[in-house]
Amino acid sequence: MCAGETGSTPGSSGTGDLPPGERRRDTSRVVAEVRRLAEASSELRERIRKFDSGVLLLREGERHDEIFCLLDGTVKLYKRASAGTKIAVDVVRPGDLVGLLSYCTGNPNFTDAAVTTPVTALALSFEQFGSLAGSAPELYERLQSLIRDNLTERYRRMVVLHLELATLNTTLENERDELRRTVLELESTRNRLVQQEKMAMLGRLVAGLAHEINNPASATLRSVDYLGEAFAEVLEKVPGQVDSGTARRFWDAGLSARLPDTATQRSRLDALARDHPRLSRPLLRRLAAIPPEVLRFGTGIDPDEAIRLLPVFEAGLNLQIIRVSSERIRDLVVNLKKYARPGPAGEAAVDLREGIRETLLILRGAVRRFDVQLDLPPVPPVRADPGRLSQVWTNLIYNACEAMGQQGRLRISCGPAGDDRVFVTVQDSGPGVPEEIRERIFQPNFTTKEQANHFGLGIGLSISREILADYGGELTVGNAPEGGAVFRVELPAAENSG
Amino acid sequence: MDKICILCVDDEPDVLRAVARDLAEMEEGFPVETAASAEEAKGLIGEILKRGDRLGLVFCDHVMPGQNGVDLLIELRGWPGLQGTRLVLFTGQAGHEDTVEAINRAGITRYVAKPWERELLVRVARDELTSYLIESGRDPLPLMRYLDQERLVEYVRRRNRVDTGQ
Repeated sequence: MCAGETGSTPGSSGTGDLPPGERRRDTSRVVAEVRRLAEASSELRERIRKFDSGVLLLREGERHDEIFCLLDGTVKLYKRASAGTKIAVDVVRPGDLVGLLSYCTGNPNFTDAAVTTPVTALALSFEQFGSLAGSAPELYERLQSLIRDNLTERYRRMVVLHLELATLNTTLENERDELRRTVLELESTRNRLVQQEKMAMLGRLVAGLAHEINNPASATLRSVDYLGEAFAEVLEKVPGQVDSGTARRFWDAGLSARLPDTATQRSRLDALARDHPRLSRPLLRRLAAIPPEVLRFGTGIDPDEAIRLLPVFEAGLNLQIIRVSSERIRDLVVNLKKYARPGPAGEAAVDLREGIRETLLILRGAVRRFDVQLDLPPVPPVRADPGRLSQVWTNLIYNACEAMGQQGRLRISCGPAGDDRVFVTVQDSGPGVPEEIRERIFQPNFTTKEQANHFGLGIGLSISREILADYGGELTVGNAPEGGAVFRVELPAAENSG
Repeated sequence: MDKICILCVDDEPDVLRAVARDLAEMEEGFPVETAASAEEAKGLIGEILKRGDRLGLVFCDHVMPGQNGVDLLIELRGWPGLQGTRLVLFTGQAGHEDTVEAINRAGITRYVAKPWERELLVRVARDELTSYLIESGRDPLPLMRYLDQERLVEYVRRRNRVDTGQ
C-alpha cells in the first residue's frame, strides 16, 4: 500500500479518520464559479484546456511555468523513488491546483503529474497567474480560496498520514518480532535436522564399522578355541620331560586363572622370594601369577618343575587374555550395533535398564574416571524405540560427565513412579543447575559448555525432552540436597505389562 | 635395602602384567612394583621408602577411578624422598591440557603413548634411570649393565677428571 493511494481516499482507510467536522470542504461550487468566470473572459476562455488520460502535465525535475486549476477529471502525482521506481503520492481532483509548488518556490517540478481521467483545467502561465489580481479580481479571489482549501487539505492529509505511519510502524514492529521468532524457530529446526542427519550418518558409519570389526573378532575367538584344543592335545601326545597330567593342570589353570590383584600378587611374590631366594625376581613374579593351589610346592612339584611348566601356564593365560579381550570386543560391537541402529527400529516394549547399561558400555571411556553407582532394580517395560531412548541416556550421562570434570560420583537409579509410570534419575556430583537457568537448559542451542562441539549443537537436552514427549514421558531437572544435578526421566509403563 | 625401584600405576591388570614383563630384563637391578590405583601407589611408595629403598622411576596411567594420574604425579612431585624421581606419563587418554599440566606442575620428562612397544618402554626406563643415577650422584657402576653405558662412562670420566683436578 503506498502513501499516494492512502491519500487519495482520505477517511476511507479507517486508521486515519479525522472527526466528521474535519472533512474536506466541498469545493464544487467554487469550481463552477471559476469555470463560469473564465468562460466569460475571452482571454481566459482559451486557457481552458482538455487533456486525455495518460498525458503528463508536469515532469519531475523539469521547469514548466504553468499552473493548472483542475475543473474536471483527475491527475495523479508521482514521485521518483530509488532505482527508477515511481510512487503515487497524491491524487488531484477538481478544485485542486497543479504546479503551485513550483510557482511559489521557483524550483523545478516536485513531482510528475499524469492525467488519469480526462481533465479539463484552467492552465495559466505564471505571469498570467501573477497578474490576475489586477486583471480578473473575481477569479483571483476564487482561486485564492481554492489555494487556501488546497493548503488546509494538504495539511490535514499530512496529519492523517502521520497517524497511519505510526500505526503502520507498530504493525511492522509486531510483524518483525514475529518474523524474528520464526527465524529462530527455523534455525533450531534446521539445527535439529542437521543433528539428526549427523546422528543417522554416524549410526550408519558405526554400524558398518562394527560389522567390519566383528568379523576379525569372531575369527580370533574361534581360533582361540581351536588353539586351546590343539594345545591340550599336544601336551598329551608329544612326549616331554614333564608329566602330562601335571602339565594339563598348569594349562587349565592358565586358561581359567584370574590375574591376582596387585596386593595379592605382591604378597605371593614376597612369600615366594622368602622361600626361594635364589630365583630372580622376574621369574618369581611369573610364578606368583600361578594360583598357590596349583603350584603346591612340597607336594610333588619342585621349583624346577614349576619353572619348566611355567610356559604352559602362561600359554594358557595368554590364550585366556586373548579370549577375554576378543569377547570384550565382540560385546562392544554387539552393543555398538544395537546403539547405532541406522534408522528407527520402531516402538517396542523395552527394559530401559538394558539401554542404560549399553550406553554406559559405549561411554566407558568417558565414565570410567568416575565412581559409578547403579541402582537399577527390575521395573516394568516401557513402550519406545530403544535406539532413541539410548540417545536420551547418552545425552544425560554425557552431560553429567561434562559437569563433573575430572572426578565425581555418577549415580543412575530407576524405579516405579506413581501409577503405571517408571522413573530414571541421573545424578552427578558437579556444580548443579542454578535455579534461574533450569528451564532454559531445555531450549535448543542452550549450552554451558564453552565449546559446544562435544555432542553437536547444545540441543541434546531439548532433543531428549522431545524424544521422551513422543512416548508420553517427561524430563525435569533439580539439584540434589547434597549438591549436583539430578535429571529425572518419567515414562509410562507399557500397557500390557500387567 | 637401598634398592632403586620402578613403580607402574595402572588400573588395568593386563597392562601391569605386560609392563612388568617388558621390564623383566632390568628387574635384577631395579625391582618393579605395581599398583592398581593412586591410593595404592601412595601406600606402596610409603613402604618402599620405609624399608630404605628408593623410587627411581614412575610409569603412571592417567585415566583411573579415583585420583587421576596427572594429579597423582603432581602430588608425588612434592613428596620428600622423591626428589629426583623420574616421572613418566603412560597413557593413551590424556588430553592436551592434562599433559601440559603434567609437564608444568609434575615435571614429567617423558610421555609414553599406549599402545606401546616393548623396546620403547625399555629404552625410556633405561634413559630415565641413567639420568636418575647421574643426578643423584650415586655410584652407577654396579647397575651399569642395565643402563645407558655410553652416557655413564662419559659421566664417570668427567667426574674423575673433576676429582683429580681438585
